[in-house]
Amino acid sequence: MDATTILFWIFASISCAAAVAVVATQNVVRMAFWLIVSLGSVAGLYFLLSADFVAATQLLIYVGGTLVLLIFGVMLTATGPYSQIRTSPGEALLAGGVGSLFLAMIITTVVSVDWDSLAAIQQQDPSYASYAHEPGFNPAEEGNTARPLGLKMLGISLEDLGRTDGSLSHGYLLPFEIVSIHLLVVLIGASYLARAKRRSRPDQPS
Amino acid sequence: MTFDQILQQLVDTTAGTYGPFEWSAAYFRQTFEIFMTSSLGRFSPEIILCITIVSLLKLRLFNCDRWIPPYATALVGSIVAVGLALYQFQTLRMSAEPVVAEFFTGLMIYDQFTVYFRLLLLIFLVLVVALTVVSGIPDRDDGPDFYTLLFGAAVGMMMMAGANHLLILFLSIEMASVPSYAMVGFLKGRRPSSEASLKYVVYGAGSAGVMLYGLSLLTGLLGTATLISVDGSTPDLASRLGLVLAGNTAGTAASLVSNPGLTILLAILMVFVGLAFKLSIVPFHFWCPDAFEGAAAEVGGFLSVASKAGAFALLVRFCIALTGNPDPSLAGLNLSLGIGLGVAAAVTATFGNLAAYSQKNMKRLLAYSTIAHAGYMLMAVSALVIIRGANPSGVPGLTSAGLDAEARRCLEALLYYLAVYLFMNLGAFAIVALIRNQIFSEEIEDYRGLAGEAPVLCVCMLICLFSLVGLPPLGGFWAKLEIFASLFQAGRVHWFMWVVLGIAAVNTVFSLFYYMRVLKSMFLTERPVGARSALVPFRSAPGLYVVMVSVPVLLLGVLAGPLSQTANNVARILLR
Amino acid sequence: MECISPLLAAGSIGDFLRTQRVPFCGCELDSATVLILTAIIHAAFLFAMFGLVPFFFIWLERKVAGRIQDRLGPTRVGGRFGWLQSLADGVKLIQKEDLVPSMADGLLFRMAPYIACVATFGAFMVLPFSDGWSAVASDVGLFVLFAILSIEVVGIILAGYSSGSKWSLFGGMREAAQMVSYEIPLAICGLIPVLAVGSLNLTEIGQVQSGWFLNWLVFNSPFTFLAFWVYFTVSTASCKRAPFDLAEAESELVGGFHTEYSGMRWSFFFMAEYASMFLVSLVASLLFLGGWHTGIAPLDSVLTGLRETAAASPGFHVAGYVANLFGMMVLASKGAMLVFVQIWLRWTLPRLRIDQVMTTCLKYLVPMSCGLFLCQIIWPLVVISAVGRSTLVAWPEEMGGSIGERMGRQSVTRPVETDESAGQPGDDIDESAESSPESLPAVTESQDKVSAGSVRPHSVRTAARD
Repeated sequence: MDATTILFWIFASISCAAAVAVVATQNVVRMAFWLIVSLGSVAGLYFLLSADFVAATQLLIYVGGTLVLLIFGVMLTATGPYSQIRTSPGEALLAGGVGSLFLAMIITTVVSVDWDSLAAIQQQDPSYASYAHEPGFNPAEEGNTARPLGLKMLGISLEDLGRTDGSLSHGYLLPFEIVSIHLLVVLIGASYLARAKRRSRPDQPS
Repeated sequence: MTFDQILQQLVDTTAGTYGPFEWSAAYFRQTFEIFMTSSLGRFSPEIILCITIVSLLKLRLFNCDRWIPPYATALVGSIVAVGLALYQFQTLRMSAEPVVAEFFTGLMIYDQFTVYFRLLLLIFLVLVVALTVVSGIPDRDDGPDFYTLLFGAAVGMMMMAGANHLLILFLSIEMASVPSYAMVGFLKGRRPSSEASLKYVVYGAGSAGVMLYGLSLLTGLLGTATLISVDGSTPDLASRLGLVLAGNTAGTAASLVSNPGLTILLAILMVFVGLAFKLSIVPFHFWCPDAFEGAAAEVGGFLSVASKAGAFALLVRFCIALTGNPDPSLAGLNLSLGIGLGVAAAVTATFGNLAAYSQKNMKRLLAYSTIAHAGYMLMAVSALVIIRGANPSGVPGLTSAGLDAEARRCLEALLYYLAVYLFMNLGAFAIVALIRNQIFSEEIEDYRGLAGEAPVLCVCMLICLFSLVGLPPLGGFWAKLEIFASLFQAGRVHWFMWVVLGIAAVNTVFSLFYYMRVLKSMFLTERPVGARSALVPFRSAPGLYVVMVSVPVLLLGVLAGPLSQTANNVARILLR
Repeated sequence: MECISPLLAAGSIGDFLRTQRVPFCGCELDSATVLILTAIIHAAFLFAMFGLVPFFFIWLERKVAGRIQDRLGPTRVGGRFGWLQSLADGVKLIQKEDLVPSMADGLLFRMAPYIACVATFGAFMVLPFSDGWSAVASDVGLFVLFAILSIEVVGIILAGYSSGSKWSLFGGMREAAQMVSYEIPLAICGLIPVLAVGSLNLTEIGQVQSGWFLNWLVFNSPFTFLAFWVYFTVSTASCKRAPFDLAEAESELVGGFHTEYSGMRWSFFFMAEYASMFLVSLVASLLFLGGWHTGIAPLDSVLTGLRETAAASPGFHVAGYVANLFGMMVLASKGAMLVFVQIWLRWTLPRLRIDQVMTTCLKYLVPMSCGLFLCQIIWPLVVISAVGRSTLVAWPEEMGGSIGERMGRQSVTRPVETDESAGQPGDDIDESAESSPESLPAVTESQDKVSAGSVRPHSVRTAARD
């Protein structure tokens, strides 16, 4: 058992335990706190996989962004000092039952796949992108995790370097750009729902 | 390729390469034509909508919306987009060999199917914007917000039609859904509206989560996210499915109990959950009646048609990608998919019709009718999957070419149905909205005797509802007929489709009753004394609008040929 | 084990440990042990940094405040200047009772100071104190840094919420509003030098600023110059320093979010605050003020030469170590200067109102930083088309060349697209960079050196792998 494995188990178990704690606690802000722990551990797992960019994004968006807004929202809207969410035993039982069934289904299906041999089968395909195992593109050893990713978001794939037929592999230029329109639209929607009715001409009822 | 070449290639395919500039009409025409073959050009209708969104917001920022009303901007934007889409459709129709091209480095696909849906959605968008002008639901102050949400959702739905990558599949569903949540809650200060919006959000988030899990599982299992590779340069779902399943069973008989098979099935099922939510297929339909009841009728009309059309386009793309591998080891997977969809379709249609029967609120009734119609349309998809998955030697009396023709017919039925459905359902929702503006009620009870006061609305309602039932000589008749015919042919592959056909026929008869109840209330009862009057003359904006929407329903009934021919062409190129 | 192996790069502590033998048994350490030991040593160094910095700055703050208010400040503890005042304060704070109010949410109340503290401490992790002297070298260092730093606000908000006191709640809410808003211009201003360099790697950003001080990114373009001041303002606000210290405004909110805290927990907030002041100042020095470079080209080239010799030779190299230590001192003094300015501001400017704080950010700083960001994108294109260089001033080659020119050469010498790599999709970027001087005979000697220096972290890693 090497250091990576030990770290993996530490992060994974913290993440799972905190996730259970999120469900088990009744105080909303404590839930948020446990969620921070859980999501932070997931970020730790990403760091362990040398996916620095994804890990940092996870921290920035979930921990530093979403959860701060969540706590902020609770602070602004709560009527009492500590807002509680109480579940009746029936609800808890039902949710627990459905949740464990779902968990059991996922675990059995995922564990039943022999992922190593599946990867071997996938690599039989001649078009399999093998550049990730070449020197210079070894993200783990060289810390080169962000460059291919950043280029992909601009639509450039480094795996095309050796190609001769002039076709391009998938670059994620479109999703990267179109999501900004999506976010703009959603932002407008959110601000519409949050604000009071706009009345530029009070004399005219709408 | 070297790095510079890749970059150059990317720029060329995205924006196009142009000759040296000169000041002549020929140069501009040529430039336009080159642009329309680049990725940005192929995406131009969507881009026009994005530009419209930004201009709506900018106009409000600089207080120009006092002189240029938001709806005018929205109308102009959507009409320009329709123009571009029409140009694309004509170019594709006229081209000598069928055009099937990937754009944005294979993430999206450009063929007649994409452009057909694009055109359908954009025409629908123009009609919805026109309806909002007539019914005045977003007032001038909220106009930019409403149209921003509307157009944002429309961009997502149009991307659904062209998606060729699982990432775009998810992104487009989210792009269509999230603005819809806000639109459902658009009426401020109405509790049902907020409640509906919240329910919609919760269901949407749940199903999106499940779907995302399915997508990541599928991508991880197959090692690819491309739906269909046009030139075979990248591995797509079908080829990888064959590789993984066949590789697993090592040439022996296919069995779904083998390990990756079961997990793949689970993953596909989870993806279907997300799509089923958008289509409001039973058992993922709970949000639908509440959302439609809470939302304004205009929004309901938009969601019931556009969201369904986009989701069906995506479903068809996904199903075609899954069934694209003729390997016999996948026959079991295809068959179980088809039968699963058939069961879901039959249950959905039956449930929708049964539940609609007891409704008192017109929007709720239409919501259940929407569910039922999603069921009918899903039947066409299930027939398509069954026929495509069939082994030609295993079907008596049908050759391989015959099977292809039948598959085309299924798709043709779906495309025709969607086109007719666009007009008839929008017509029904529009009339509900316009009547609401007069009598401030959406209860069927309050519709009594309206025919005397607003004959044009009631007659158009009659056309739309009869078409929804599928009575000749209206558009809905041919649509249903084509679906039934394709179900019958699919029954020759597997008997279960005949069962579905039977259920569909019974459902059609049954649906007559609840639609008739509305019409009976409108036409055959007296207007109660003291009820609000609803005088809508023919020569008024609402009158003309409903006529404009209802006439195509009649026309498509009388002249079914051209559209079904077009739909058949679209299907031929998609299923090539 | 490959996952964290940048820790074991040549010339680093890990590399040194790898060559050592265990004192008694004489056997070599296996790589897992080396890794863990290295991690512990790095963490210990960082923690020493993290712990000592507040001690110094708290003393400095009191001294400066005293001078500004025409007092002497601490004079007694530890000799003439009161050097040990902070230590005395620390001892006092440890002795104090650790109170938890009865209305407080105990768990969150106890955890909050740690979250604030750990976030600041974690952000030091990716910071290069000198060329290659970072605990964790990351390709996206700046992004990771901002991400970790963004967690600090969670601790403050939780403290405000869980205290069960109105003052704390107000402080927490102000803090949340302020931090969430100020993070935006902070990140955008941080990205402006990144645009000029083309890398998020803090080490690379530091490396390109070698040569004379006009090569510092703050002088790179008018926009980086303006961005530096915006960044400094915003970073002051993001450390909750006056005039933006609304979260703890003593005159209105008693103590803001830390009203209910006492003893060690209270001091944790202060350690976090002073450490994060130093952190953002160090980042400012790295991004704008030349990092560990002195700004005097001949001196820097000597130091860089020493570092390169050290990196090339296995094991421990004293001269290289001294060069790096000197670099660290330079960086730290630049950071300390900026902290001094922050302290100076605190004792001279009046506190803003909360609405003024928000207006400053949302109506002025955000649009300003967005505008600067856009201009910085357009600037090089305009300058190149106007004067044919990427910088306005032509900087003599013998003085190290201007940064833009070196960036241009760098993109010539380190591409993936050279001929020998075309055939092999996975060819190493760095190998092509190293072999390129032969393929480009026109490149002069000094240029070779600069370009080789600027890609060194990769070649170091390659060497470590070999």
